[in-house]
Order: sequence, then C-alpha cells, then structure tokens
Amino acid sequence: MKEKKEKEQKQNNQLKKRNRRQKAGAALFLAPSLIGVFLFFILPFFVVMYYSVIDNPINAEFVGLQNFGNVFRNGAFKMAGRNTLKFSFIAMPLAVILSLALAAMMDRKIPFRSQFRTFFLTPMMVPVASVVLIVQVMFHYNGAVNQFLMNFGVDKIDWMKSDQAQVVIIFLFLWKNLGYNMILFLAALQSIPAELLEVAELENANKWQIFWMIKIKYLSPTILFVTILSLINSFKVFREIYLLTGDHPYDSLYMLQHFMNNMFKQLDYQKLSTAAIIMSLVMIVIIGALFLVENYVGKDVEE
Amino acid sequence: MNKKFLRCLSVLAAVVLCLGPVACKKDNATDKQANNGGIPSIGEAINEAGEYYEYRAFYEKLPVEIEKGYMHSAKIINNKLYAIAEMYDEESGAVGDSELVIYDFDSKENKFLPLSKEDDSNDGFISSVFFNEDGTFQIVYTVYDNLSETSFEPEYLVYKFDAEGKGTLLYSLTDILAGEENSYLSGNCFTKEGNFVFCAETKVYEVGPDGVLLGKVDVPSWINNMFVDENSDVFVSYYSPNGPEQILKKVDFANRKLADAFEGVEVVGKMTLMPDGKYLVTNENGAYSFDPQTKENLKLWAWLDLDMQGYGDAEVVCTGNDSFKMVNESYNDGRQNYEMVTIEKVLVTKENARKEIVIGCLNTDWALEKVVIDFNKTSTDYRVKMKPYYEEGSDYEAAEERFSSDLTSNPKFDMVILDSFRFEQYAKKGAFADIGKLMENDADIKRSDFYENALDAFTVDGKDYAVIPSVEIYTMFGSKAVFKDKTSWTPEEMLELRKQYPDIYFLDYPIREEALMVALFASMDDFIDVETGKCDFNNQTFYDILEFAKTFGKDLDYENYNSWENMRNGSTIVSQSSLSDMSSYDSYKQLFPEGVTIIGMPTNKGNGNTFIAEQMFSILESSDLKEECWDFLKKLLNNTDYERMSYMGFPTLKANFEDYVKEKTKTDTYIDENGVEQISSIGGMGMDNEFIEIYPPTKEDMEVVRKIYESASSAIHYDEQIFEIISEEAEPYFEGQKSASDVANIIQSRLSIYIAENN
Repeated sequence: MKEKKEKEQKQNNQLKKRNRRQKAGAALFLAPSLIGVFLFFILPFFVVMYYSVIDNPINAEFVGLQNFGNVFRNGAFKMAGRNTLKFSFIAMPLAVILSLALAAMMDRKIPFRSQFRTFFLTPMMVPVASVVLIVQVMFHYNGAVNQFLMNFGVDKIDWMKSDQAQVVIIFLFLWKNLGYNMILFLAALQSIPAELLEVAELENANKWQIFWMIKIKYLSPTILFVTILSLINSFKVFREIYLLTGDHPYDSLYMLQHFMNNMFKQLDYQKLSTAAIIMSLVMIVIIGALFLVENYVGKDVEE
Repeated sequence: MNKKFLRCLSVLAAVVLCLGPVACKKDNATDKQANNGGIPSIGEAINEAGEYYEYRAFYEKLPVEIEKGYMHSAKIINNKLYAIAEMYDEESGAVGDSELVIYDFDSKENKFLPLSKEDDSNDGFISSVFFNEDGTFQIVYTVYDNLSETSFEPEYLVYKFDAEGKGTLLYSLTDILAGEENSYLSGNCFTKEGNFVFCAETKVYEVGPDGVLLGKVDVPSWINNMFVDENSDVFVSYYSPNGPEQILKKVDFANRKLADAFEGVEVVGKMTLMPDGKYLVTNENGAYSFDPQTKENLKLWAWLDLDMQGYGDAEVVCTGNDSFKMVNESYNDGRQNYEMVTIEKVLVTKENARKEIVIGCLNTDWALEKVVIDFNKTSTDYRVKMKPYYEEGSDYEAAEERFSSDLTSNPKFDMVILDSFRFEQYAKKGAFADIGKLMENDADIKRSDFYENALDAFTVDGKDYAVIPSVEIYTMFGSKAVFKDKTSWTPEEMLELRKQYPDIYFLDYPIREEALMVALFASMDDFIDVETGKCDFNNQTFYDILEFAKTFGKDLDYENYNSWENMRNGSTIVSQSSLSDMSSYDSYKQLFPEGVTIIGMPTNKGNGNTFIAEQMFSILESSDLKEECWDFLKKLLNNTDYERMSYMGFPTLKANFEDYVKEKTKTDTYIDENGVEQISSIGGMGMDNEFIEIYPPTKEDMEVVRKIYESASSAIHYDEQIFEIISEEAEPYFEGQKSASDVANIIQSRLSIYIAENN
C-alpha cells in the first residue's frame, strides 16, 4: 500500500516535473513572439496613448481629451474619416460578394476553370509600382482611357483629380484583391461535406436553397475572415493612392492614412497619435460587430 | 538522436530570437553623432554618476601691445611665445615693417625685434613662418613683383632668420616650380633635418637645405592639408577620388610614392601628433582627435564652447595628455587683443557643472558668436551654449532633420533660433514662451521701443513668441519711368501692365514659375484664410495671376540673358528682391535709367512689402531659465556692434535703426585726378564682367526706405508645399489643356486639405 502510494507520489512528481518542463519550453518558444509583440506593438501603443493626452512633447503637459476634441474638429480628419469609411463600405462588400460569386462559379465544372483561376490570381504577382504605373498610363488626363473615350465624343475626364477618382481606386482595389479572396472562398466551398449537399439534392432542395441554407452557413467563418481581410486591405489602399497622387491628393482620395502620414511628416505627434487611437477604436467596433454577425449566422453550423 | 538534435536546434533558435532585441539596444556611437556632423563628441559619454568630460579654456591676457598693427603665426616653444607682428595703420593704410615678437612666460618680458634681411630687399609678403626650438625661424615670402602679362604666378623665397631677426636668403623655389601648371603653395613646413616640404595642388615637394629638390610625389587628388610629425614624417590628407572619404597618408619620398598609412580620418583640418599617439585635428569648427589604431574620431571641443571664434589655422600646442596651449586673437574696441589660452580636460561633476542656457540652432554666424562670447566672458552665473546642428562640410538636410526631430520630440534647449518659415509651425504648437510678458515686466526694453509693425507681422495668435533683432523686406523694385510714384499694385494691375508690355521680358527672371511665385507671394492671404482654414481660389484675382504667369515662357536662355542690361534698356521693368541693406536700393537706382520705385509685391491688401526674418530667437516654454534667456536676448538687442545690427537686415529696435541710419549715411571722400572731391564707394556688385560701385545712401534714400519699413505690415508665409501644389496643377492651364477655373478647383481641393491639416 505504502509502496503504491510512493509510486503514485513519484509518478505525480514526474508528471509535475514534466508539466513544469513543458511550460518552460512553451514559454521559451513563445518568448520571441511575446517580446516582439511587446516591443513593437504593446509598448508603442502606450507611447501613442501618452502622446495623445499631452499638449506637445516639448512641454509634455497632460491635457486630457483635448487632442481628441481637436482632431474631431479638424476638417482634414473629418474628410479623411468620411472618405475612408465610404471607400471601405463600398469596396469591402464588393470584394466579398464578387469574390464569392467568382468562387461559386469556379466551384462549378465550367470550361477553362484552371486558366480562369490563374487569371484572377495574376494581380497578386504584379508589384505595386507596376500597378500604379499602369493606372497612371490608363487614367491620366491624357491617358489611354480618355483617348479611347474621345473616339466616342466623350469629353476628357480628369480621373484622378475629380469625384470619379474613388471609382478608379475601387476598380484597382478589386482587381488586386478578388483573386486571393476567391481562393479562400473556393477552399471553403470545397470543404463543405459533399454528403450534406447530396442529401439536400435528394430532398429536392433547389440550388438557391442549397446555397443560402447550407453553403452560406458553412461559409460564414470564411466570409467573416474575408470581410476582415478586405476591411484591412481597404485601409491599406493608401499605398496605391499615395504612389499615384502624393501627400495631398484630390479631396475624394484623401484617406485616414494620408492624415496620419502627413502628421508624421510635420512631426505633429499629438494629432497622429490621437487619429491612430480613434482609427483603432473604430476598427475594434467594426470587427466586433462582424464577429457578432458571424456568431449569429454560423451558430447552426457550430452547434 | 535526430529528434534530440532538432530539439536542441529549436531551443537554440528560440534563444537567438529572444536575444535578438538585445541587439536593438541604443547605439551610442550613432546617438553621439547627433550634433557633430557625424562625429561623436567627448561630452556625450556620460558615466553612471552623470559625470562627463569636457574641455575648458583658461585665459591669461598677454601683455603684448601692438598699437598699430597685428600679430600672427604665434607659437609657444619652451615657455616662450614667438610671433610676427605686422605694422599697419588702419586709418592711413600705411604698411610698416614686420617685427619678431618674443614673450617670455617666466620673466613676463617681451621683445620686439625688427626683421631685417641681409640683402636688404623688402619684397613680398610673409606667407608662412616656422619657428624652431632654438629660436631661429624660417619665413616663406611670396613675391608678386616679377609677374609677366601672361603669368600670375608669384615667386616664393625662403629665408632663414636667427633669434635676433636677421635673415638670409636660403633659396628661391622658382626653378623648382618652373613648368608646373599650378604653383600655388597650399601647404608647407620644415622637417627636423631642415628640409623644406611644400605642396602645390596634387604634388608634394621636398627641398634640401641647399635648395635642391630632393623628391616629388604625386597625390591622387587636391591636397587638403599637409603636416610633419615629430619623427619628421610628412603626411598629406586628401579626398578619395572615388568618394567623399578623406584619406591620410604618409609621404614616402625615398620611393616617390604615398605609403599605406591610416585611413578613416573623418575631419578635414590641421593635424598634430599628440604624446598618446593620437592626432589632434583642428579646423574652423573645433578640435578633434583621431586614433590611427582604432580609427576613432572624437570631437574634443567646439571653439565657441571655449569662448573663441573659429580658428581654421590655430597653432594649438599639446603640452601633455589632455592639455593644450594656444594664443587667442580677438578684435574688440577697434584693436587686436591677445590672450594665452590653456585648454584642459575637466571631469564635469554636479559640483563643478556650469549653468548653461542652451540655444539650439542650425548654424551660427560670426556676429552672433561675438555676442555669445562677450556674454559668457562677462556673465558670472550663466553661460550660453550654442548647439549648432550643421557644421561646415556636413549634410545640411540631415542637420535640418535632426534639429526638427530633437525640437519636436525631446528638446534639451532653453532657446532656439529659427527662420520665419519654421518659427510659426512650432509657435502654433505652444512650444514657445510669450516674450510679450517678459517685455511688459522689463524696465529697459518695452514693445514700444521696437518697430511694432515688424513685431506684429510675426505674432502668432496675437502673441510675441520671438525676439527678432533685424528684418529684411521682400519687395519689388520698378522702373520709375513706368511706375511713377505708385506705392502698391494689385494682381489685376499687374496683368493689365503685362498686356501693355507683352513683348518685353517684364520681370527680372521672366519664367512662368517665377512669375507665379512673384504674383502669389503677397497675395496668398487673398486665397487662404489661415485662421479659419478656408481656401478660395475660384476668383478673378487667381485667374488673373494664372493668366499673368501664362504670358511667360517655361524656360529661359540664360546664356544670352543679361538682366542688368535689360533693366537699362527698358526690357525689364520690375525686379523682385530683398531689401536687406541699402546696397540693393542703390544698385537699382543705377540700373533703372529714370530711377527706381519700390512698388511692393502685387496684392489686394496693403502695399505688398513683406517682412522676412532670418533669425528669430524663441524661448522654450519648458525652459526653467526664461528670465536668464531674456537677459541674454537683451544683450543681443542692445549690442551696438554696427556689423551685428546690420548683418541680417534692418534693426527692429528704433534706437538701433537710428544708429544704423547715421552709420550708413556717413560718407568718405577723396580727390580725383581732376582735383574734384568725390564720394568714396562702400562696395560693389558684380555680374558677368560688369561691376557696379555702391555708394552710401543719401538722407533722402534713407527716408524712402524708412517709409517702406514703417508701412510694411505682413510677413511672408512661404510654404514650399503650397507653391508646389499650385505650380503642379497650374501646368495643364499653361499648356492650354484645362481652364483656369478647372485648375483653381483642383488647387482648392488639394490645398483645402493641407490647410485644414494644419488648422
């Protein structure tokens, strides 16, 4: 009995030792990431928060939420916020819907399926600088599109310096991102259990019903993921706009990142930090809302 | 086994990744380079107790009085000062003899011995003096007497003098340099063996005591500096032909080549070997040490920190480890003063740390440095420490960036010096103290003592955030024949006038971009309301400006363009320029045959005469030494040094301006060959092969300028970004592709964002 107890005790000790070793190992392997996240994300975030509540780095006096008030009243910030939201709320749903439609199409046995897939993925391989150059050649005031339109008696349009500018950028955004989104949807579509679809067909469900009642429910995590990805990418479209039009573009193309980039150039850390915090809060709210929707739509599948 | 190996490898990789950030620790070397043009400074190595080293100067007035003349080539040997005194009467211009000056530090006695040559020749002037340990010395004279019509090359004569100042001609270098393309001696020195070594352009020559050329060595590029060390080895420094790096090499005369010596000297200057094997490099910025073993360059001191002005050729004697001696020359109260300076390395602790007012700036100027030195030498409590970010030869843009970055993030200054373009940006952020309050509480200087219109032009939110000792006025000078007595004009009038004179150059720089700038300089307030952040370019005034600029070409054939001639023949009727002193006014008076009218920049508001301030002194709100800073600024404002007052334009203090007027209107006269009294010129301006003599302004001229000064009411708000956007967007209008209204819409859209960002 005593021997058994001792054996158990020994086993317990060994187990604890192994657990401790495993934890230490895990901590060691996690450490690089944790240190990196702390140094490059968490620490800068606190620095940003600090800058957002002081008057300027020279005096460094605490001013509470005064910088937030200033930024909210700033005309450039309001315009940037409006344009960014407008762009995201147009480009993001389009990117999801069109890529889902393309994926649904590719999921069917259509001719040249493989070639189409390659075709939609090609923009991912093209460097941004080349994309920008192509857009410039096409949409410049004296560019190819205007030359083409003039053949039909249409007046020249200043694509990049008029209200049409966002249309060009949405087109560019979709062209660049549809392929990747499509591949994600395609993978998700192909992982839906085939027997479930067969049962639905046997029970006389039409294609529309199959799509809405089964496929969409199974696709909901992917839709959420693609939506978040598209949302992030829509914020990142600044890169292309900046390369096309510089620091201060025509007002319809002025995005939040322009505001922050220009504040950085002017060494105005207060406005920069405050805008960054506001932007991250808005992102948290939007992504939180998307999670709620996904939870609601996809709950049957998870159950 | 394999699994174990993989596990070890993974652990190792994790450890390496964890240690990675350690490598990100602050690079001291890089940090130290912040303010020294890339060279770390000795004062930036601070130990854990907060202590650091710095060099301090201790002054002792030399009892060497030279009534009329000056002293040069001073050198300390065996506790004696040797120098050459040149007698010169500034008033009459009479040049006297040269004398040997010897001052004995032990006996405190000095001797003046006239230099005499055994051949009794009195030719040439002294270009170099080399004192020997035994009190004898050699002098290289440059003689220009034998110049032919085709050759401007002088003759170089080398004399040896005994300790009593009696000289014997050793030899002439004329034969040695015969046939060389450039015989200008850019450096020379004597070795211990008595050989004379000199360099001319890209060659180093060694001449024996009998005047025979011993050897000649080619150097790959122009020689910056040459020196002989204690072992009689000759070194030359030159820029690498492949890049900006300076190379220092020993000259191997035996093999007629440059030996492989040490590289990595980052500072150009005079080099002296120190007892610890390092080299002391001195130039106009300060002194540096260079370690040939470690290749380390270290800034030891800036001349200004030792209360001296830039000494490019200072004869610094190393008297031991970390101890130096030199003679400081300064010019005060109309005479040359000499001081013996002992420079010593001091460990700065809490007890002996000096209280300093730190002034951050891009660069200093000699006039400001004089005020700083004067303040430091007379102030008992505080010193002013200038912290210039740009040093001669370093990258100006990088210095600007460092200065801006330090000012915005973590300034360790009490004051800053900015130009009017940068000042406003920081003032709006609340970085500066209200100078108005300091003036209100001051018994000596009140705001009303200044030209208040000049101060008003630079106020931000109605407050004075800077002390502005002087201002320039940006304006336009027009032909009196065209402008008569007009004192202002609008963009619309400018366009109308252009239509009347469509076929002439019209402007001084008749190109589109310049025309656009000129038209917009003073009119920007018509289109941009900085207070509300609103822009309005969709108006007739802007269309007029665009139409005006369109009448000019994109480029100009400058080779066949002579702006002075065009003003004389009426092809140019108006010219934009800065009225910073009276010389520009006088030159325009001479260039426009019927006289000049100061018309101002075109604007719908006021007269278009706009202020520019090159130096604005602002006290940082975060400084604990505001009162002390104000004391220094008062000293700066009250400085009656005429050159200082007029260095950057017209003084803003009314009393100083009156002194300026008195000084400027003083005239000297001379009797010409016809026996007629003429006014002497005070300088001149040159262009191509032409030269205009500038004469002192008359009282009437000064009154014209005074009126312009008193009537100017705004400052130039030049913003490069704004002009770039307007210039870029106006191009399709100039090319005829877009209408003025289309262009104005786009400009308005883009600039609205820019203005709103900063509002």
